[in-house]
Amino acid sequence: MTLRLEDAMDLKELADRLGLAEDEYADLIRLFIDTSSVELENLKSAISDKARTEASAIVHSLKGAALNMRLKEFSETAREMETAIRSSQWQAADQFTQQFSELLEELIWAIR
Amino acid sequence: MGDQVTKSGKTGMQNVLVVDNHPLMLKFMSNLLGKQGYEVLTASDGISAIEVLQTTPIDIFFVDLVMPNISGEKLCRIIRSMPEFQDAFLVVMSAIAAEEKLQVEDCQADMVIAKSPFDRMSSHVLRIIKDLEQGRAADLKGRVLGSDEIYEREITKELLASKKHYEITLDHISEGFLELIENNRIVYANQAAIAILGVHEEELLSADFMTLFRPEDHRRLAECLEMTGSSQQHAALDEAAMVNNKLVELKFVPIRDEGQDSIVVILSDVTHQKHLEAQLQRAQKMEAVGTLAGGVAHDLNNILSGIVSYPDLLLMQIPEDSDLRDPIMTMRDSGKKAVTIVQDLLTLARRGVAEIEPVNLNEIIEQYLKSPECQKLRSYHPLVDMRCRLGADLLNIMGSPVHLSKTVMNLISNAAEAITHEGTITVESHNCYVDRPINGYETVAEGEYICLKISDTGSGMSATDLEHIFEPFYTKKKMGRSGTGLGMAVVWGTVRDHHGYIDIKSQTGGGTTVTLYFPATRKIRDAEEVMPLDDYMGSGELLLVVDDGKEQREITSGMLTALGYTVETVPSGEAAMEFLRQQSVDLIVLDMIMDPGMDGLDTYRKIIESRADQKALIVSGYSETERILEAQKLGAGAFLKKPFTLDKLGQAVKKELKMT
Repeated sequence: MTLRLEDAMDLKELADRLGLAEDEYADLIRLFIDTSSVELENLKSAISDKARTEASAIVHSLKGAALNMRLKEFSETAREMETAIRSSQWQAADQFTQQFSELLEELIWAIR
Repeated sequence: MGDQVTKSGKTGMQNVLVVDNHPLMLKFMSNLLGKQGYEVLTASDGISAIEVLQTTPIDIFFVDLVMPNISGEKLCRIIRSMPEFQDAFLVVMSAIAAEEKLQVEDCQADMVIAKSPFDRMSSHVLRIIKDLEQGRAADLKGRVLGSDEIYEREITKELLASKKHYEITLDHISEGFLELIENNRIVYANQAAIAILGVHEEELLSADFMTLFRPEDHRRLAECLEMTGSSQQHAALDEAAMVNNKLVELKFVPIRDEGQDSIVVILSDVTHQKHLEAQLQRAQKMEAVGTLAGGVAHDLNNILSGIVSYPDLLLMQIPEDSDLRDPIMTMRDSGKKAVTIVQDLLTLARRGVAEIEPVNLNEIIEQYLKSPECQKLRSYHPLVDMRCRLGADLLNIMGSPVHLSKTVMNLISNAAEAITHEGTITVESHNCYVDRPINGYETVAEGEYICLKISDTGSGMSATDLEHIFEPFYTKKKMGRSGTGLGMAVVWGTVRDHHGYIDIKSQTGGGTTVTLYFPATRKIRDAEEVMPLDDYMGSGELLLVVDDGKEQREITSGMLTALGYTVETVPSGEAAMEFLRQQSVDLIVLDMIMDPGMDGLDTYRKIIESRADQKALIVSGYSETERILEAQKLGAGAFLKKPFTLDKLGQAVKKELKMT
């Protein structure tokens, strides 16, 4: 079962579902935010350069991390990005990147 | 790289290394296994992982497949190639590997777990740990855990396919490709690079690029790397570097990447090309020197005719007890020595091989070893042991015994002089068939050869000396003992004239081996006809000497007169035609090269238009040429090389006159 972002407010429940202690889960979420933020910046640059292979590699990493953490909205957005990049729809890819960025902002706010 | 490796857990427990480029996965695995009491080390890429392996014993590995620089697949192979990790348990963490089982077997992992949400991965990892703790590793081998829950992976497949596509392409081109990251660590090597460098891929990946090369090349390499790394400029090594006994040209291309800049090094093996260039340069140089030597030698040859031939005539005319005999004989002998030098020069000019006949090289060698020259050489080098291993049933070669003998003499003399104190010279001969070209000093073409190998245990030569060994007057021998300074040049010229090849191997302090390859023949020799002196005296037959050289006309005329012939002389082909319109002759002694006017061939053609059976001898300072052969086809008789002696001329004339 993959949790949606609105469910992620309850860190304890999320931690339980991943079999982790609450503080451990919090550590991982913070790490997810940090790494995803950096990767998003790199992704924006790759999309701007229309560097398909590089963009694909970054999205692969973003999606994998989201799935590991069972963050469904993130993983679905990443999948949309992936489809757009594969078909070289750079404008769409840029929009999904923005969407992922907004989700990340929400997550930062949620775990505060 | 140190900051890319972290460690957690208690000491004294089993060590686990997790290799993944995502910090989230490293953190998760570290927490999970640390709580189980394991010493957990993490590495974010292949290079960092290899650094860990060099210092820490690892019992269990968890390795991601898609990683920067060295891929998970290659990392697994590197781990398995290290003897200390042959029995470690190796788990690949990858959804795509879970599906494509073959790839895992190729990289020698024990099993696979699919990457999935952490709760699922936890259960797989803990199960593996439990089974291993309970000694059930065998039950896990080849297992794939979590393949039922792997998430969509189109892009993973695509990334792997893209990487594979480039790797296949790069593995099928002749240039070597290396990718270097910081500290010149190698993270990629294609098949050509592996072959050129002669190092296994497992050893090559993560190795320091500079350690592959000789210290003397490091400065040049470092300059190129600096230029490419700092200035992001393309660079190329000014001259090929020596690596794995190959000459390799290197180009450096900067690769700018968001994650990590790298340098691609393109390696081209130019050993064969450089070898051919060196061969061509040597051949061109020897040809140029030969042309010069030939010009000088031809003029000297004509001058020497007087010095060599007149003493014989004078000796015939003075009494046996005359005081003049000794000085005249000294003059004659000195002249003959001068002729030897000129002959060497002519050999070098590749105009010297006058008589081509079937020759057995073993006889040449044996004759030389019994000769006074060889005895003299042995007396100079009493501590040198001379061994002879002559092949049985040695085939003949088509050659000039004089030049071949000189070649054997020069090589043995050089070998003896290379031995400063005690040592051994070995002379060998054998039939050999070269079924594929041999790349040595020269490239020996396929064919049937007689090999003459002369080796010594002497001081050997440096590569520089070896480069110049066949050049005229390039010698390290003792002055006054070693002849003309043309010894090896004569060897070179003789081998060329005999359509053979030379191979020479030498090392400073390690002796020298010279191998000559002469094309074999199955022709056998005619029994040599020896004619006693009285049998070649003339009986007043009329001979016409045609030669543009006044001195040569006088010499030839004097000899023939002394032999009892009636002799007339003319200075050109045109004058000969005029003479023959008035009078017939028994034999014409015809010079081949005359200038200006008709040469020997043109003259003979004109003569036989009106005198079809006209007998003629051909004489020339040069070796047998196409024009001489053409004249002989038209009916001219034997060819006699200048300067000739009384007996040679007498025998040739007599033989020709006897022919019907």
